[in-house]
Amino acid sequence: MASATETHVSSPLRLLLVWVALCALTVLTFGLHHVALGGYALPAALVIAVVKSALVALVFMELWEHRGANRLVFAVSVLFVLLLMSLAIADVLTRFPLATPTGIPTFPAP
Amino acid sequence: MPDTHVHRAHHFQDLGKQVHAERLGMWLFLGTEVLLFAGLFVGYSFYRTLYPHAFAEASHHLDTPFGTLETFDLITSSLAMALGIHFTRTGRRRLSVAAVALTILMGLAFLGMHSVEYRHEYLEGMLPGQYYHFAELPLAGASLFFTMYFLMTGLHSLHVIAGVGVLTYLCVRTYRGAYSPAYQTPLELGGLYWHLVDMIWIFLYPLLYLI
Repeated sequence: MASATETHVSSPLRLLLVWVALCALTVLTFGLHHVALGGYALPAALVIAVVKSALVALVFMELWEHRGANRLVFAVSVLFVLLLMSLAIADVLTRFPLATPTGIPTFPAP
Repeated sequence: MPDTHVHRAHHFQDLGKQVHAERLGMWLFLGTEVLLFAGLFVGYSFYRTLYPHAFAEASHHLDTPFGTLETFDLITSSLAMALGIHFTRTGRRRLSVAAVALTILMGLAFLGMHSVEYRHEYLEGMLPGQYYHFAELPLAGASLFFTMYFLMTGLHSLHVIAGVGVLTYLCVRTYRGAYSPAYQTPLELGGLYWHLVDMIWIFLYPLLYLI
């Protein structure tokens, strides 16, 4: 019955290492903010945010060890968010004057 | 394990099945939370694509060092929460209570810091919707940035307040010895909620303060 509750004791050292990594990534993203990256600033900041939240989900939230169903639920909700967001952005990017409410600029702005 | 029967509801065959159901239920709830915030993130992307220049300009007027401090605060509170669960699992109740109490304090510190920010923005007139009267930035779209800022950080702060409430309850229960190395699922689920709130901030921070 040792595995009745499937509780595993994650080592505090691993938790600490993840915390150090999260702090380092925060310093990195704050530092990049002061470097002129132009069009790469947003992708770079988002990649760092994705890595940070993956660390939180896998280690702090223990998805690394959990059964399939929990991972599936979270992965699917993230997938739906990505779908919704990319389609909404695609909508704005492909607007032309006849499909634009009055007063809102088309993209790219004239 | 006689003490595990105390926690098991009669409609579950064994504690393992109950814990599995409890975790799955929590993850489903977190999934709906992600979708709740998704609406705001999509609204943000929509307006940001329409007004890239105004969003960049408006974002420069937020207090970035403060936002960075809040990020460190929440990340560290997540570590304290994870350690709190670890200590309960290894049977160190006092340390566990201290770690969860520290998590609550850092949650309160976050709310305090954000109140200072809100006060500054209120005084400067960086307000949502028609209340926007920020003299330095009379740019089309800048008001939309601050509207999204208040909605996103506002909803997030409500979650921090809810999290502090849940963790306070769990801290008292831990102090009274309700959880043991054999069963500490409520503490674990409270932790999941707290980590999700941290994770949402991890995205809010670059999108609002850095870009």
